[in-house]
Amino acid sequence: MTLSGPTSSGQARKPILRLTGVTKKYGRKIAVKPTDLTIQRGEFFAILGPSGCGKSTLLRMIGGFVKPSGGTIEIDGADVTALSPERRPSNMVFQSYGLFVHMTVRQNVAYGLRIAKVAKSEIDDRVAEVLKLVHLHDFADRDVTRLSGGERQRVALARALVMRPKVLLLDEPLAALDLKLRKAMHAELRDIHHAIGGTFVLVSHDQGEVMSLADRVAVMESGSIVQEGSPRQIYREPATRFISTFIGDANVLSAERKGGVVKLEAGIEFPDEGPDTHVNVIVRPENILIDGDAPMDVSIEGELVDVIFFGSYVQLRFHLDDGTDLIAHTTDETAVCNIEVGHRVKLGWNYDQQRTLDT
Amino acid sequence: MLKQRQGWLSAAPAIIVFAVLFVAPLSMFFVVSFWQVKLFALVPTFTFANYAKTFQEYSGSLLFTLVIGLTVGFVTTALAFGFAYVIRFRAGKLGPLLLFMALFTLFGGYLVKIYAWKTILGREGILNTALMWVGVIDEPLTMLLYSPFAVIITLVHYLLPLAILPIYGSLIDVDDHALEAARDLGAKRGRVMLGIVLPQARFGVIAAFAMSFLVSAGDYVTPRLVGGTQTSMLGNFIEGQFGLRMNAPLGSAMSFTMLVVCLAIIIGLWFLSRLTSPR
Amino acid sequence: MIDRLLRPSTWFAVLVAIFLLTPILLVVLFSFGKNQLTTFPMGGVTLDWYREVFDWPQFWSALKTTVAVSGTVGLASAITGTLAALGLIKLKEKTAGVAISTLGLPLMLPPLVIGLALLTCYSLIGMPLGRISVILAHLVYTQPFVIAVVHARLRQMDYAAVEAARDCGATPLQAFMTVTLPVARASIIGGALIAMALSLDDFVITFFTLGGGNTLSTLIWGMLRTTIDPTINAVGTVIICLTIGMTAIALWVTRYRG
Repeated sequence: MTLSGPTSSGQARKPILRLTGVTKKYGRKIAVKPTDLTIQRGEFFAILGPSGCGKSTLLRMIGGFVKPSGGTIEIDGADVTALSPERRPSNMVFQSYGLFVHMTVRQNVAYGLRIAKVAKSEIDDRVAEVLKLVHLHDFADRDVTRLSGGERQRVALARALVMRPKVLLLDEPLAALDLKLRKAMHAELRDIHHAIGGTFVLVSHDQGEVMSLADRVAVMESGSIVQEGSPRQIYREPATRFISTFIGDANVLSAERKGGVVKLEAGIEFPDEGPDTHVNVIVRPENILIDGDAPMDVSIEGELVDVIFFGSYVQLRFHLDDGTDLIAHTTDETAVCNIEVGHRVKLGWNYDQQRTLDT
Repeated sequence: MLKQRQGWLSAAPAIIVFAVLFVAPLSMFFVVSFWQVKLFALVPTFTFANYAKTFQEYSGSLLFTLVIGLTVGFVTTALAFGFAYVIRFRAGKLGPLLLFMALFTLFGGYLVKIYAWKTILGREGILNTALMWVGVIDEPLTMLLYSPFAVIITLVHYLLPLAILPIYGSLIDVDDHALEAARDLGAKRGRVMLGIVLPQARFGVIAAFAMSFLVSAGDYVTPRLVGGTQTSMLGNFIEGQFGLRMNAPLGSAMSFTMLVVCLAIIIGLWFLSRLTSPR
Repeated sequence: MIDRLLRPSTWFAVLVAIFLLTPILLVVLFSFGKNQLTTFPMGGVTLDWYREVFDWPQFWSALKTTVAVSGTVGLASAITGTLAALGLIKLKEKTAGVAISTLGLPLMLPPLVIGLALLTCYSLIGMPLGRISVILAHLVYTQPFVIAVVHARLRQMDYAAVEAARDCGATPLQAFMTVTLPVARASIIGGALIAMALSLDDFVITFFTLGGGNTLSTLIWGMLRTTIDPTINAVGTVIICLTIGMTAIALWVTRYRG
């Protein structure tokens, strides 16, 4: 496909987007603390965080809609910090879409090219090409007010893609769609990314969306990036207790470390090097082993209080003696059949499946 | 902030129009109320004589004007609220049609409307002819035209569409589900109207009442044309100061006395409505 | 539909609508009546009253003044009102609301007071009375309508569309001309038409600030005191047609475009 921006193989290792110390203050309130971020050409990068964490502000600073209070933004080696949105080689898909309601689908998509005074024949070709890419070629002459939510979303996407941006910015692009449509759009977005090979920067509060779309993720919390890595890395090795519960489910167990030994409030001990402090031990529900013969490094007793069937897995909730709850996920239904609510069961996990975080 | 400064800058022409053609003339007019007239010329002084004269000579007329104004205000607001409530919640598909009919009469010509009532209420007018033809009465009713009744009905007719607008505007935002919830919780329809809808529409209702009260209290054309000699309102006397007598200071003092009394009444009613409305 | 028709509440609303419409319809009806007096029976249908009005030079000069005044008022309040709406949209919604209510204050006061205040003011500063003084007087109470209508439309608009235009390479001016203005255009026209109808409808303020000559409403005022035949109905019908026509177009334009 020819939709992506001009690339030359020599630049392949140079980052397409680099933020250095970018920050935003509103009066005394700091929306984004000084942030460094580097995104490589062709990456599908996601910024994940709860609402109000500053992720949208960060994205809008990249797009030029918010003026940073400090720092520099470079796109493809050029400093764009002082440029207004129309002069940046980036394009944005807005959360509310921002469609031009007085125009047809085709007019919406052609808008930027017509502003840029591209030749009529080229406009027609490029618009047709991108409408085909987002499966809207049959709707080209329809008024955008007569489209469904999903179709509007595609118009917004097409309008940005047709500009062949060096960086495509997606601000919660699917937030207004229902779950089923959102999942379908995930697959489509990945297809489009594969097809055109551009650089996408997505902002989302939906961890499932980020997991299924992004190559690399930055997690933001109260104005700063707290962890950066592949989705797998972040899931496996969450840097903070917040991340562990924000991305996927997690059991967070309170414990004390003294002299290289961690003692859980639930009564178990295991060796762990580190300073004497309060720690959280994090275990993913799918890593909890139930009453099996398999050897486990840590074991504890709990009473089964609740079973929920989720289709592809079963969730069990256990009550430990100290009053905390432990959640376990299992895909092995036969294991569940053997225990009933009210039974006491031996539970456990292995050291390599746990993560100890100092607080 | 830059954005806000741009905003105010863009609004500047409208604000200048407002300041130069409304605030300034009214302030100047107010200052004139402390002046005097000598040999048909205005003399800048500072005297309360005009206000004293207003109370001495025109307090009866002021009282009569307030009674007419309050009656028109209450009747107009009640009818407007009822009408807006019905077309918003009760009339279904008929609602937009009825609203359209009401808005149609928004600008039918102020004088044309007064004239229409003159022809309807007159001794040989449409109403008397019709009533005699039906046989309800044998002789034309003479008290229809040139009476306070004629002034009130004419003003209500003129102000009603103007009062419907703000009330309907405030009813649009009322959540239908809140009404259903109130019914669901056991409230009767009338109670929902007074307890749930009216408080939410309070600003629209107050605006409609204030407008119809103030405009009717300050009117002079209606009493002149359909009120007869017995029903002169303060507006007629105010206007008179600018005709032959050329006494702008007295006219100004009378105007501001009326405005201040009316505003005091509106503010009083506002507090009363806050006291009586449920939290 | 049927059960709604049977409700007493619906009947109340229908009666109110009849109360509002009847007097105006009667004026129109009697403008075609043969009878010298405006009462039943009408005595047949005629266009004589219109012929008489249209042969009357004063009617045409009043109409000319009216068109000039209300046309200018419509245009001027469209400009100041639209600019104000565009400015207020940049402020916080609450601040904008207070500003709109404040600018709307002239609508709350009796026209008599506004008219006399302006008359006194004009004569103190030595401003000659005429069309200009009437236009300025009307502007102060017509612009709030334009501001309210256009501002409501802009608030309802997705501001991201303007940002998207900038994002696609449009300068602020281009974004305004190609996105904001087309979206607001219908409400600007609608607001201007309402402003014209208001201006045309006004008698009291016009009466005090016009000086010599006539507009349609001051012409009717003169007729009310000298004439009793249905020529008044004919002129009244012309005014009704003009104002209601403008209002209807305004409602139509604003209703069917977003």
